[in-house]
Amino acid sequence: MLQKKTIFPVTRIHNPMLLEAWLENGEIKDAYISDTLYRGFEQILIGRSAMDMPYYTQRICGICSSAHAITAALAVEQALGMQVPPNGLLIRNLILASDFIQNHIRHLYLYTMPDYFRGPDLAPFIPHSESDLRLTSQENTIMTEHYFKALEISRDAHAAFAVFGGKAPHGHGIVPGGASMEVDADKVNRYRGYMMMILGFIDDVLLPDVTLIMERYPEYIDLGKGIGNYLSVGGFPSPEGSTLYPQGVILQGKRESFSEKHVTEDVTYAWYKPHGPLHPMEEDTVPDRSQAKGYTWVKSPRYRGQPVEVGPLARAIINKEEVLGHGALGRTWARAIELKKIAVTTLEWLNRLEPGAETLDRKMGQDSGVGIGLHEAMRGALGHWILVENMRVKHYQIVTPSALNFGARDETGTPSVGETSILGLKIQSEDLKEAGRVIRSFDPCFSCSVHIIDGEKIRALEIPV
Amino acid sequence: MLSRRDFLKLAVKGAVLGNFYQLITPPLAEAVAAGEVKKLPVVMIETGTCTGDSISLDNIWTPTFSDILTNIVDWRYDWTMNQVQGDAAYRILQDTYEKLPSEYILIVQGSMIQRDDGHYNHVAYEDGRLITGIDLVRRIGLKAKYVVAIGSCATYGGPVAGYPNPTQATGVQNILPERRVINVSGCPAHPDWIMGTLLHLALYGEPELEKFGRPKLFYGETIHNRCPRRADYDQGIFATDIGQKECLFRVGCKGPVTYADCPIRRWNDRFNWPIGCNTPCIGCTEPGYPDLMSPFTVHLPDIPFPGGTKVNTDSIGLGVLGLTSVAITGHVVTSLAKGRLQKNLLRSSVKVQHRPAIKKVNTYHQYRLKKTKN
Repeated sequence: MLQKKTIFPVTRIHNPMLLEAWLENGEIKDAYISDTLYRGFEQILIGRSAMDMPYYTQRICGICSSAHAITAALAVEQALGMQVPPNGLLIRNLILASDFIQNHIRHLYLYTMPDYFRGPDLAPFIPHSESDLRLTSQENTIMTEHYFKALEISRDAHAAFAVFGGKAPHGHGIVPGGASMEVDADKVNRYRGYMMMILGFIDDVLLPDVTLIMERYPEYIDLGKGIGNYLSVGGFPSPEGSTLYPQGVILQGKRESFSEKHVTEDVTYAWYKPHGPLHPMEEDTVPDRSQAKGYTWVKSPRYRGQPVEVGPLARAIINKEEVLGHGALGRTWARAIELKKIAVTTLEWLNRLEPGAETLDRKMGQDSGVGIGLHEAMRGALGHWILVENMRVKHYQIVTPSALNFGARDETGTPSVGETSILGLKIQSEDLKEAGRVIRSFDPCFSCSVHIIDGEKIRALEIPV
Repeated sequence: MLSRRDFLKLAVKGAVLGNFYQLITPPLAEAVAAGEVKKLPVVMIETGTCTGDSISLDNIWTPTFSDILTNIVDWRYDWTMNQVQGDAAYRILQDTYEKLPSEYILIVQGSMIQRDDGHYNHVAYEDGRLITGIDLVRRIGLKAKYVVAIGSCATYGGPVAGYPNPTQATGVQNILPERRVINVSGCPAHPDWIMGTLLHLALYGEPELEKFGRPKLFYGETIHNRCPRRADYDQGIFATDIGQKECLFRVGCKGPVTYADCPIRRWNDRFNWPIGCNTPCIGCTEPGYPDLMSPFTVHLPDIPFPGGTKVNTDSIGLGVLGLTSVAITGHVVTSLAKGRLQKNLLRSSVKVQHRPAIKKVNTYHQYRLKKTKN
């Protein structure tokens, strides 16, 4: 006998996420994850000035604003034939890197850790979620201190962002053609100073804490695995053309090179006017809540028709780095390691900056064109597809990492990696804490799922038994 | 009243103890310690938002977040921070609503999504039904002591309400006409503006508000009047593109019509801010942002408006700003004209040929402002 549980809101996630799980003997047999907000950015962007895109698309997401900025800038630059000077590339890397660091620290402490430690007797930590807490009371006290320390250090990451980005979140520094801030010793000094403090925190506090959690919850290292499909679109280019993260895809264990041509989005189970799987350049976004099969506002992006996992774990696997596991804490570990790697690399980029050299080149080759911006965001692959006509946006489609991880089922009914990962979990807690742990390890961000649920219709779905 | 001497003594004592309430009001601190008075209960509802204002609030430099949670507010419901999930989390909101009516503060982050009676945004699950953002904000808001809208989306609709406004998004004041909403605008709002407003509410009650419901303390003066590049403007030295060190007025800066204290407050550890980053202010604290402020960077002969109208650059300079100011404040136009504007700038910019785009946009922003009663 299947028993339905609805968890809403799944907290410590950006924006509303509704989890509907079907349990049998305490085991999750089927799950629907839906986003309950539609904002329609892809419709709003049409007709605006192409040059505004890095600023406007940032407003999609408050925690990964600069990732949207850089991806939109890449798309616009390709469409208009602009060339970014080397200094500009490095500054943009520095802005995005500091935002990565901010996101990873906040995700680890604010969103992930409260699943594993008991917070202080203080709102918003009360009421406590008591089930399956394995840290001693002394460790809980230390973890609470680290929680607040992490809040302070993550401010430093955003302060580093603002050195070249003006303000954070929703910075101004990334513009089509490069970066708007000039380079001088004052700024390098400040950025480096913040980064050294952050590196100290990562080594002394963050990595030991993650290790402690992994020691106490060893089964979660591999619990909540994806389906073995990973994708990365690469990111952090250097002036020579190489990237810190390579592009690549692993489908059912086989490694292949990435081509954006194989990305499609389907809307069979989402609230949009129906169309088959279409490439982002061909599809449009027409919301329609009357779609009988719909259960979420997130479209279902696929690569070669298959669901893929994106994020720090995918990036590490595609970059052939060592990973400890493929489950919830496996992802958390990959995120922590990536955090350190990026923080160290910022110091190299700082060394390569040339004071006084130009950071911005606004020369344009044409005023119309097609642009594809692909860059890794904090939570995985991000793509912007743009068609510019006379400097105005004619077509804009965005495929976000959270849509890749948590999109709707596709036309064949295949669920996303996120929905698959919690199947078979043994549930002991009242509020499906175990599922929450796995879901949060993906760092879902439903503000990013630009496209979202109608309650009445969810229940109309036939649940396969 | 405390004498200056008493106050200094108090301040020193408070600093040593590190307790916020003791610094300001000793009797209140005793009451808090004795459990007679609770910390200010706060609940936050997120509707059509990017959660950027939560992230911005996390960036607060002083006071620290641990200080805020320990000494200032009882941060009860906030789904980016609550330890429990699902019903257990939602029950916190319900309990606060039922047990502390007229005591708690409601913070709303995100625009009110009105399309299909609000069904494009569900924020709670109750007795097998999904509750829309509008319904929840109205229910919780009517019983709150204060309603504070943070961020551009919650205050005036923001980027979500950009043309063609597919979700019919609007600000909180428009769906809560019965009562005053304190607007803390900005995209995102500066953490000091949010926390400063909360603190004012905790200690001194409602702050003095300007005509768009924002605290005068933070939104009392234009960016332009305090801008470090004001000297360039007055002498007619203008940047020709973003990324330059001169006044950015000609490349789209909306500082003259934007009320905020960014130039003196600055952002994130107070080192930088958008104009310091050689990019124009995009007017994110004003009603009508982003449509009335678009395009953010003017650098082309033709300015495409989202509605489909084109305006020539020659007429755009003061034109866009003039229109914006008519729509927003009115008095800025006159102050601009009276000011020491360079003649050549005026000559090239005062002519305005096309207005329909503004009209079209305006229909989505109806600011019904409550009259001040007290």
